[in-house]
Amino acid sequence: MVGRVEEVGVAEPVVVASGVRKAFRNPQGGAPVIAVDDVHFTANAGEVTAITGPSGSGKSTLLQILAGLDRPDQGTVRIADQEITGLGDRALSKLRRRRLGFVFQSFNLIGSLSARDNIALPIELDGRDVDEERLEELAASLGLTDRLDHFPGQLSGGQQQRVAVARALLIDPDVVFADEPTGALDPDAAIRLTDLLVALAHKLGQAVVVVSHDPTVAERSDRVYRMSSGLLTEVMPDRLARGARS
Amino acid sequence: MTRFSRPLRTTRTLRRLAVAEARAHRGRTIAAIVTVALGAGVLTTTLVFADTMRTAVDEGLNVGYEGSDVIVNADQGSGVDEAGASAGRGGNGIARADVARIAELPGVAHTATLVRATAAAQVGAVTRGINLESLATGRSFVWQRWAAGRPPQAGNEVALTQSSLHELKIGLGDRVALGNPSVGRSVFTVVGIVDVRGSLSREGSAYGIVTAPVAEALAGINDANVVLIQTLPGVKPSAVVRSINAKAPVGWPESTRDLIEADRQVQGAQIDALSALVTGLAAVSLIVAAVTLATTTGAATNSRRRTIALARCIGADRGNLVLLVVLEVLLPSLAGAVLGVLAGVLVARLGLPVVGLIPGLPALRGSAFTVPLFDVLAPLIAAGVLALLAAVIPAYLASRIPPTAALSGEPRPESRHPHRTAAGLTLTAAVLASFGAWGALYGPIHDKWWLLVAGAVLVLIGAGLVLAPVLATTSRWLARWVKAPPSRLAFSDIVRRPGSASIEAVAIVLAVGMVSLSWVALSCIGATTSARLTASDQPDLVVGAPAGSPIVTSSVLSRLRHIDGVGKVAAVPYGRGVTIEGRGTRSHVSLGIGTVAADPASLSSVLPHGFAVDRVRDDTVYLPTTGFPPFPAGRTVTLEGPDGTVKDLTVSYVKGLEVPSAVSAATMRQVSRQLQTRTAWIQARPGADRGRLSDEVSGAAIVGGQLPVSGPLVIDVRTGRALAMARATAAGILAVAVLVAVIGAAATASLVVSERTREHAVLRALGLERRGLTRLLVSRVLLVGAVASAVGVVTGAVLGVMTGRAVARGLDLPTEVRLPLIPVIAIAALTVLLVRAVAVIPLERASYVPPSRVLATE
Repeated sequence: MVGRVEEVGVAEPVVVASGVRKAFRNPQGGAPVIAVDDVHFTANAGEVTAITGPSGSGKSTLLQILAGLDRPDQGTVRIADQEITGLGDRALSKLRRRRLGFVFQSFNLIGSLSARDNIALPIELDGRDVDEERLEELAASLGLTDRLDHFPGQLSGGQQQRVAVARALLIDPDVVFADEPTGALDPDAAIRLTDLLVALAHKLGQAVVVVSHDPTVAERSDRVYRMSSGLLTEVMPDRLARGARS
Repeated sequence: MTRFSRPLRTTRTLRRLAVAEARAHRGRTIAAIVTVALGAGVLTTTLVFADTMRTAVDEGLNVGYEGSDVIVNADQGSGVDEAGASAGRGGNGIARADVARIAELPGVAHTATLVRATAAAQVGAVTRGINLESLATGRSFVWQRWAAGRPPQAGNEVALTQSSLHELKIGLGDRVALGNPSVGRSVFTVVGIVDVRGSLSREGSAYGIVTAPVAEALAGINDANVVLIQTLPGVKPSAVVRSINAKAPVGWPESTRDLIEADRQVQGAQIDALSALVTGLAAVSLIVAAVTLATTTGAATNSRRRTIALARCIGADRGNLVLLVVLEVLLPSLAGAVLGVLAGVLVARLGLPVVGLIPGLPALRGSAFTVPLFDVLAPLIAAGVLALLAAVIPAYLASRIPPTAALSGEPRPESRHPHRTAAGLTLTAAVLASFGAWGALYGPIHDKWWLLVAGAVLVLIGAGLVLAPVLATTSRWLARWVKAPPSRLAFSDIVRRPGSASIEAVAIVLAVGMVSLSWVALSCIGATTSARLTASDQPDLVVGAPAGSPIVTSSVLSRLRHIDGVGKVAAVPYGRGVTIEGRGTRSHVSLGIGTVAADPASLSSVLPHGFAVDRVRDDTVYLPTTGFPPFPAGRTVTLEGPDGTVKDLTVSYVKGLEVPSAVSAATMRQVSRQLQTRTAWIQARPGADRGRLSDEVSGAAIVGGQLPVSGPLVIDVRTGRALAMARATAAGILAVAVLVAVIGAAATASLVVSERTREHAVLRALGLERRGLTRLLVSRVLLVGAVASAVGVVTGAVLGVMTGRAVARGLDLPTEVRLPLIPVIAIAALTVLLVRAVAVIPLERASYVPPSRVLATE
């Protein structure tokens, strides 16, 4: 496999979080619930970084903070050398439009737009002209060529998720954040999507941060973090562990 | 468990669920309560106003006759006051001896007298006709009270009502000139403010009290002209009336009960017509509230599709869901109705003083405030029934949601084939509107007014159905032209889901349609009557009358000629004391209706189509064509006057002759050398302010001796003012309907927005700024509001023209179509702005959706 990582030789950190903490008010009173506790995290370009853990461990909250969707109580997050925790709404919106891609569990496509319009949406929101050639190319690489004029209601779950991936990639982001991207897919589709994300990360040199409790995702990722009760620890990816054992 | 306890428990559970749902969606619940409260409140206010007006009329009719059982009015004079009593210059008094004879009649307990007169009251440039009375001579007959000051005692003192002082722009202690041409004028000091205690006849026009000698002088008599009689206990007033007619034949005796009843019939008919119109308009608000309830509930049902399906999964049957939706609609509706009724009663009480300021309506006093049980129950029951009707479709839709919908991740698409659906809806709307238009046109022709109403309802339903295709087409067109991504997104959404957008707009179409309908219909009716009056053969204004009115003096003619807006004035000369004698169809006829010495050239100059006779022959008497000709055509008659007689004049009937009879000037000279100007014909200058012209001519006529003023221009101005008042009333009341619709639209929009929270969060996550999201939501609301207003305006205008046409046909007049574009477009624009204003809070809240919501599973 040829990728930018190999070309550069050294993995370049794109997402760096230091000492991130986030707590929520306890609805039943009492002490606040700490969702993320003093987390340090790094995701490199051209790598898939997985965050795994049981439900309620705080991994989705961490993803929101890393992606600038929410603000931490403490700590900093840097994306490609830009400190994002202090940015205002407009700057964060611009950052999301231009440098971040998102893939969600329930696809989150806009029902009133066709697949083509959904893919082009972030570019259009940025007021830029859509590069139709690149869009077609991307759609072809994701097997969506004959589905571009369909509406989300007319697509299968796997197709919808591929449209979401295309939407995330069209802007050529620094990082793609994916929250349980395989959660709504059958096992075969889940494996195909994970392989696709890994291949694209390696090929395009983008950092991909995936939150998932799907073992197939952790198995195929370059780097794996485990989250438990708000605490994050880096673990060896399964394939490396297997390799080490063998 | 008994046989009935299970359904009862289910109902209790469903009621608890409905209350929980209402609490969970406070905004929607408050919107439902407010809309129903507004509708029920307006209806209550109008009902209470109508009943209070009836009470005020009853009180007002009685108060002026307090203490009297029988009233004897003297012979008819030249003027007739509001109470129908004769008065004024030229009438006869009732001699003291006659009063004494009446007092001695069996059954009469007490008598008193008073004097009534009419005069012109002048302060500076303000001149008003005024009814004056002396106080009754018997203390028990005096019904007036004193709001301030005291009764007049000297000959130069007068007491006036507060409204008269207001009209003349003076106060207590100020001076006012009273008089008429026969006795001249004199300056009086206002020493008191008369409290007429709501007497309609005294409040309807300027009224004052003077001493008996002053009233006699102004009436041109030496005695009283009204006798008031109290009968002995147990004696019927009608018996005293008969007794006066038999034994003391003087004046016109009538029992006060008969007088009151006659007045009540006239006033009651007016109030019934007014209250029917106003209540009908107010009911529109409640109907619009029901429509908004139906649309918001429908939208809420759709947004809870999965929850409802889950309820089906865990065992709720269709009946349970129907009951749940009905309770969800009924509970806030009843709460809103109760609040609305309470607020309506309060507004009615606080608004009583305002009613008196509206021309033509009686002043309402606190004592007349009436709240019958019906006024409270009717809006409550109407709100309950309409709420049930509003719940029917959403309840049915909820009951049709299959349990499997709980498993589907995406909401059901609105239509798989939007183009086909749009075409089908358009076709259905066109068919319904065509049937409706046919009914609206055919019904009035054949006196089937229900067809007009049914047709209007069909056209409105058609307008509702065509909304979705119109919204989709407009949005598609706009999406092509608008560059800003948020607005394009909003329009694309409407293109895909025009049905849900049209649900937000249905109530606006109805409310704006009703405003447009009332404006266009009233404008068409006004234009039709105005055109009819303009096409009349009569002169624009006629001052004076051929008989029973003072002469139009040269000073009056001069004054008329100097009024701004008067084009030409023609004096119509009548021979003094001239009669036409001859054999009629059965017996001898003597016509003393007034004969004009006709000068066709002079008279033609002020008539729209010229005088009906080009050349007046000396051997002919011209009479207007009527259904009851006094002489057979061609018969010879004799013209008799103080200076001679002319025989063998041929009778000729002329169509459209604007005088009672006419001969040549030469013929007239032979019978009466003295000519009197009994009427002056006025032609208005083109482009003159007709309202002001009518007012100024009326003022000059009052100063000229209470001369009557008639003519098409007077009727046109009166009709125009009445229609303007009706338009303003309709707009005022229907504004509440528009507000109700707008609140409903905002509530529905808010629901749609909350349903799309995840979509909005996705857009935020993809980089749409908060401002952009606001723009997206505002674009959607504005487009829906604008299209709904436009469809409402067009539908209302079509129905308004149909209504105007139906009314014109009923009056046997050709229809004049008038589209008051500026006010109607202004209403539509205001509605759109109102939608924007009312939607501010839900849209602002929606724009604050955090992008992290995108990760929420539900």
